[in-house]
Amino acid sequence: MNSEYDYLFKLLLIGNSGVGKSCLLLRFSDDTYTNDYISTIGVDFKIKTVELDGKTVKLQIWDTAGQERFRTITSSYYRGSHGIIIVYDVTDQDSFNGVKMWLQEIDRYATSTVLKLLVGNKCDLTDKRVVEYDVAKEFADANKMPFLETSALNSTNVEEAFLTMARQIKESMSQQKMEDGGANGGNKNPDGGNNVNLAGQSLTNGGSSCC
Amino acid sequence: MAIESLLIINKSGGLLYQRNFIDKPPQSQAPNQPEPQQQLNSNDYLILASTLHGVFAIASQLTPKALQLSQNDIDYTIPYIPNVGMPTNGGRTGNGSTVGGGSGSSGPGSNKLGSFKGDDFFKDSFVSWNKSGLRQLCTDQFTMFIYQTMTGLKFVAISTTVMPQQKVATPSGTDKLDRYGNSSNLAIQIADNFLRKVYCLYSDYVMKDPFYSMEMPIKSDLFDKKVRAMIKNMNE
Repeated sequence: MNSEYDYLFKLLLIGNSGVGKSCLLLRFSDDTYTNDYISTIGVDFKIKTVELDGKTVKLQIWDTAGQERFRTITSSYYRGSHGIIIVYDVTDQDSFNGVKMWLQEIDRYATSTVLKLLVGNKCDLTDKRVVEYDVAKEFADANKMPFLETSALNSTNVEEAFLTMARQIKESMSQQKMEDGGANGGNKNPDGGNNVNLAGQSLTNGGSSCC
Repeated sequence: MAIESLLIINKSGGLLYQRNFIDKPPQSQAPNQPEPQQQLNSNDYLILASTLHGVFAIASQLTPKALQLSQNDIDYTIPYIPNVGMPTNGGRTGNGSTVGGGSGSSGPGSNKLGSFKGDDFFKDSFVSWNKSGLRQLCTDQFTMFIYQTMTGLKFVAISTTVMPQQKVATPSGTDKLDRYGNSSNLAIQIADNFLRKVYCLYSDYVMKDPFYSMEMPIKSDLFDKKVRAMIKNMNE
């Protein structure tokens, strides 16, 4: 029965082929790691149940295929996702360059209020690193999204990456609900533009929400 | 037609509602079937729903060009079939008192399922919005019917009815083949009518629930009760 959880969040993992999206997810959902490289076909799902503010939340993570030939299908998965995690490989400059392209994809297919997170994976490979932390951090700041470096191998930051996202979604949702209620009750501001501005604020103010 | 399971999938592929309506029957006809495979947990259903959503998206893109071109010539009207999921008349009054608990009206009419439009919802034929993509899936074990609304919400019914194969070799000739074809058509129309009624229930009891948050799992008892009543009537 599906009444055992209160919320269902849709998270999407995107990024170039081979950056470790599936490994990251495997570490988060099952806390295991495999060295084998198995290309994802189309999309794969993993579900993790977490508790947030006394509510049971199911995080359904859609692990998309990075390969170009699945692109037409993956684009149809962006719809309605609450959060999108863009993954690149710190030992692969191409995958970092590809982030720009993935951001364009998000703009094209996902809703504008979607939460984004940039993740640099494989940070345990210090001697092979080509993308510096500062460079990526600067890029993330310029695009107004949080940034983390993770390692699926030694599970650095993996849990944090997903849970930060979940918490942000939860916050922005309850805030949105309050604003919806306010708009319905007041009904003095039928101005649509004003509503958009409020929604924009809610995203940036996400951290400062009280209670 | 017995409805085994009902799923509601939102436009982004998330599962909103899932219920099984047939408890594992004691008169299980296939003893060689292993038991444990029957049990799916809530995560499995989430994956099933999202996979179905993906298959639906792929199927939409697979529509052959010829079919797309002749799209306008195809009649997507689904005829209205009366009394789908309605309580069968006669001897059902005892059942009615348990079914129509929510409605305040008194008398024997309290077991009526329906909308503000009447006892039996909308009494017209309707157009299927599901013009590209998956509409039904036939297997040897079950048949799955999908009704997609204009807003992308998908209602999926899994029925124990097994659709007869259209190309089954019948020695008696075309007469029998014709009858088979008709009967499966009727089942599809009944399923479409049923799913549209579930959509009506969804509009009445989920969308008007002030505590419901959009695109999230449905936890309305009233909706659950109404759906159960309708399916109970259908399965009888």
